[in-house]
Amino acid sequence: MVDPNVFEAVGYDPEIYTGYAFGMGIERTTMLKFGIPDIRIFFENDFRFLKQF
Amino acid sequence: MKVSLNWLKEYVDLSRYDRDVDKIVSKLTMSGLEVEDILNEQEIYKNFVVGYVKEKSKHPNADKLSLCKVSTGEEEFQVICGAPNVEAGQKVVFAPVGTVIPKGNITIGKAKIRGVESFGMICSESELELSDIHEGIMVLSNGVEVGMPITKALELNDVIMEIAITPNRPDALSHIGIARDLAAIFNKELNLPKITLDEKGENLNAAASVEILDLINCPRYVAKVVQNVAIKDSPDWLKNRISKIGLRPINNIVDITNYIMYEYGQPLHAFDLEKLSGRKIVVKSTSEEASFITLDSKQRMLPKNTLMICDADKAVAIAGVMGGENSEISQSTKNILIESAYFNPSSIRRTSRALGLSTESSYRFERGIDYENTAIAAERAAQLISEYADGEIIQGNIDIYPNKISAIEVKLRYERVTELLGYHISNKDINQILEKLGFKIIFESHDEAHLIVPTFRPDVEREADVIEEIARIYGYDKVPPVSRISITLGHKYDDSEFTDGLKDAANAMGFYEMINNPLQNEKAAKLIGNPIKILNPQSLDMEYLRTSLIPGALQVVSHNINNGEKDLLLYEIGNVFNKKTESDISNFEDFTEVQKLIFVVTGRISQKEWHSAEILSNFYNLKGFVESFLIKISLDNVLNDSYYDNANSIYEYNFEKVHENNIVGTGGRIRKEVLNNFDIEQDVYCFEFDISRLISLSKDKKQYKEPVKYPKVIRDCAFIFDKSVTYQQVKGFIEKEGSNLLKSVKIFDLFESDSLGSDKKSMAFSLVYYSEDKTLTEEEIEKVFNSLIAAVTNKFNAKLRGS
Repeated sequence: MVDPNVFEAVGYDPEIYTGYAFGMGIERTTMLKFGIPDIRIFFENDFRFLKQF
Repeated sequence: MKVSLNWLKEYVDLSRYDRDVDKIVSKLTMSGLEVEDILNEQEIYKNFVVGYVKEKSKHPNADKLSLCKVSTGEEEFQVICGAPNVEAGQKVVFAPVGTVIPKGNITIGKAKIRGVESFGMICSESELELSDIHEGIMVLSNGVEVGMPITKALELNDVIMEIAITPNRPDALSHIGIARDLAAIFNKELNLPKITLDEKGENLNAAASVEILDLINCPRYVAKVVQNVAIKDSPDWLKNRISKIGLRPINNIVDITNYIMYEYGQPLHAFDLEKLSGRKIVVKSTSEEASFITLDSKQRMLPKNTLMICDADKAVAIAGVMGGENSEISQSTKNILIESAYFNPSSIRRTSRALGLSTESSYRFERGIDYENTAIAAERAAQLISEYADGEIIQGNIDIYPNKISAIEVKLRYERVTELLGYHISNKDINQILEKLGFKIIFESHDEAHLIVPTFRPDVEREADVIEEIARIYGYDKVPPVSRISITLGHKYDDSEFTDGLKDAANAMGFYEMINNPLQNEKAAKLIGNPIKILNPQSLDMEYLRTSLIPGALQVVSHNINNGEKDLLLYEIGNVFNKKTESDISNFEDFTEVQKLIFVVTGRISQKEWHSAEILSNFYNLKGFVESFLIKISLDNVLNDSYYDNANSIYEYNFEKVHENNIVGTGGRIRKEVLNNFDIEQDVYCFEFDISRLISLSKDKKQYKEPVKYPKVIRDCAFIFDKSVTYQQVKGFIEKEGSNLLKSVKIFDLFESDSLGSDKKSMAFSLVYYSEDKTLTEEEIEKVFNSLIAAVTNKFNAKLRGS
């Protein structure tokens, strides 16, 4: 849930507005879906990895 | 932080979950205290048994080894042992073949040692990771039964959890802190240690005194005196407890202060009272730089305004961080002053950073310890010291605490809880959770409760923080899912839709996307252009911002060639940064940040097939890909080509895609010298587009153009030119001079031969003429065609071929 201080800082009244925020790491979600074990694989640009997808 | 489950159980009854440790682990993690690792002693020690050494004789082939017969009751084993203290009649810890030794994770196998077989191992404490003792084997007391698993014999049934404590939970940096959360989660009672002191009625004020000169940085200081202590080893239970959580036992006093830090979360320090000049403690900050030797024998330079513990003459400790060598406990210490204080978190943090010195003690003070608990912790220490170091506690506490810190009051509206969480928790359940967490309800109505925030929770200040506590203890898994929600998607404010289209086109052509770091090392960044240097790089590998996508691309090519992948079609979309002038950057106007797209072609363009040999990629393949790409993004007929030989230091021969004098893209074959930097021995072709130019071009709205009704006439001509005349020059001239009936010029032949002359070449052009308004007559075409021939012949001193 978004901290009330954050709302106040941008001019929203936290008594009226509530909010939630979440992030799903794009790489991590992809790792779960395809069973990729190490996040660094995405940035090594190994062609043998790239051509699998 | 490592936490022992058995130790926790002293403060909260979790016996119900003895067979379900996973439940404790998962509930703790879900409440915000993530269990990252679990060491289950039952699992680790499951194969070790109590062995009985029936016989011991010298090893026939080795002086320092013994040949033993070890019985486990049911079986007998021949075992070689290298320890000096092994004797017949002893009860030992035996590891049969197949057992995994904790230290080093080695599996015991059948072995032949100096020609004699050994079927197992007799263990030392250090091999079992129970302590550091490695000089001899572990000898068990006679009371244990032979053959009994040591998990039973040594009560090795603990579970050690490695918990990641988030910075907002200083209260959880102790067993009681974690136990409190568990008590709230499982709705159990929290059992705090009972402290009973056997105190002597001597005059405390004569024994020691404390003065705080810097009350801002030390709001409270509690001191307790224990006399006539005997410094020796701690009792086994204490050594075990602190060993299991990763501490080394030193002596009873030090171990007790450590124990209480991990029990209550209050860091303590014990001074040798006789080493305190004037038997006095003065808490003050340094007025200037000073040098100090800490108890690890390191000399440190203290900056101005470092909070120090001093005696009447000198500094004896860096407050909250580390004690001094000059006041530490030694074998001969008789009288102890226990320090239990509350130091200002920012002061300790500042000192710790300035000295580059971080200790378990400073770590806790930085985050905020419980100022109400200082006296209790000191008393607990005194009790344990009197029990296990024979000391006599002098009655009373010295407690300097002139300006009481007031606890925080929070108003909690019960309805707000429902509003913020989206589901209902009864007032009763809410109150129960809060009370278990240490909140005091000083007023209660149907609508709201007024709470006093516990002093060990500096992270709770507002109603929202309280509601968070309720939700996480109640259980996030209990949040009822909502079956339908409606979302309005905001529209994209960037050009990612356009670049997604570029990626689709590249993918469709068979290229694979790569991602490179915009931060590079000096060598790569300085290859092209004027790179911007980072003021605080994470490492030398990320010191500069890239000026081009080429170095990164070549690194990828090199990496893949090393892995045996030599045929590559790659692309990348990323930003490049360039200084506008040679001088340093001082604001955002001094550099450009441009988004680019690079294509890389290298290796074979087609493999060996039954009908053709393998074909290596070449310049025309690159050009073909570029044209194909532009067709796919509908920008193929708005750009013109330019070709250059030797134009720059990157490309041997490059071509550009241009729109009205703006370069939209450039590329070609990379020079060998550049490739050498990456140890690449095959040809590499690249093409870089400026994406912002592609975007502005594609914003031109397409409009229907009626096809021309009148026929086209094509005229070909060839000229012999001096070799120095370029295709650009001729084409440009023809386009300018060729009348508005000339709609396109294309070169279709380039010919050089000695028959023309060594300094001559022939270029042949195909010219397309038509009019949008009428059919052109022979005469009209002849007129403009001949006029053009004459102009070209004149301008370039050329000769029309076939004339």
